[in-house]
Amino acid sequence: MLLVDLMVAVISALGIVWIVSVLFDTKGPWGNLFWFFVVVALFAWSCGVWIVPVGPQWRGTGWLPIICMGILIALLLVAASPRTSHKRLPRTQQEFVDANAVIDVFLWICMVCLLMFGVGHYVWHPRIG
Amino acid sequence: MFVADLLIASISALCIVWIVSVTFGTKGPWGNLLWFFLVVALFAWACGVWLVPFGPHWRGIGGLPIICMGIWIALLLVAVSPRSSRQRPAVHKKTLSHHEDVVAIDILVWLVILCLVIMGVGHYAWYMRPS
Repeated sequence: MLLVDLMVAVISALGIVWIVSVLFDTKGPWGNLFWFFVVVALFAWSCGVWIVPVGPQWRGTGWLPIICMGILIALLLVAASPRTSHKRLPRTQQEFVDANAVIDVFLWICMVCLLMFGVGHYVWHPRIG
Repeated sequence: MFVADLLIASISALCIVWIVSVTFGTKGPWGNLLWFFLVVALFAWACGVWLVPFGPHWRGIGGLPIICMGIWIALLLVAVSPRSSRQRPAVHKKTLSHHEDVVAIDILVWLVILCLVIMGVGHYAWYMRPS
């Protein structure tokens, strides 16, 4: 079980990190794709396995929660990362922007996904106990 | 259930954000405590309610998964935020062009990784998944 869960997390994190790094032209908050991948894979695995098993299963592992968790964390990290696609502000505000991530569409996407994820729990999954 | 979950997420996120902002001297990756709080609260609620119920229950509501989720996300966000405890020299900052946005891999990243490993391994040690 542990090995299958880990494998699903690692493979999905590889795919997710590759897609978001190409799409959003970022290497994550640490400027390094390896660290970006490690954090996404770890979050996807450690939080994904704690989520109630939903969706299709493969070798006894519900892979959907692990992938969902990976996507959410990757989106959050992209929202908090420097990206070349960011529109830079005038020079006077440059210093502030350099120190802080920009509140842009990625943060909003992340929040909408979270809202749907949370509301979906009450719609599709009756709580145990 | 929904309101209680949201209330637990909001209150715990308020406390967590306040504690980490004071401890690490940060306002989060967006330089704004309100956004920091909103993201932590949303993550704590949205992901916390999906976790298997564990820990003490109060009126059918288990707050521990929500609080745990809030702590992990707050730690992760602090790890990618500019912090006053990790000041960059002013002169050095001017000379950097591309890499000045990049966050250093420090003790906090390792702490997040350690917490995640313990949480993941703990699942197999403490919780038998229904087959």
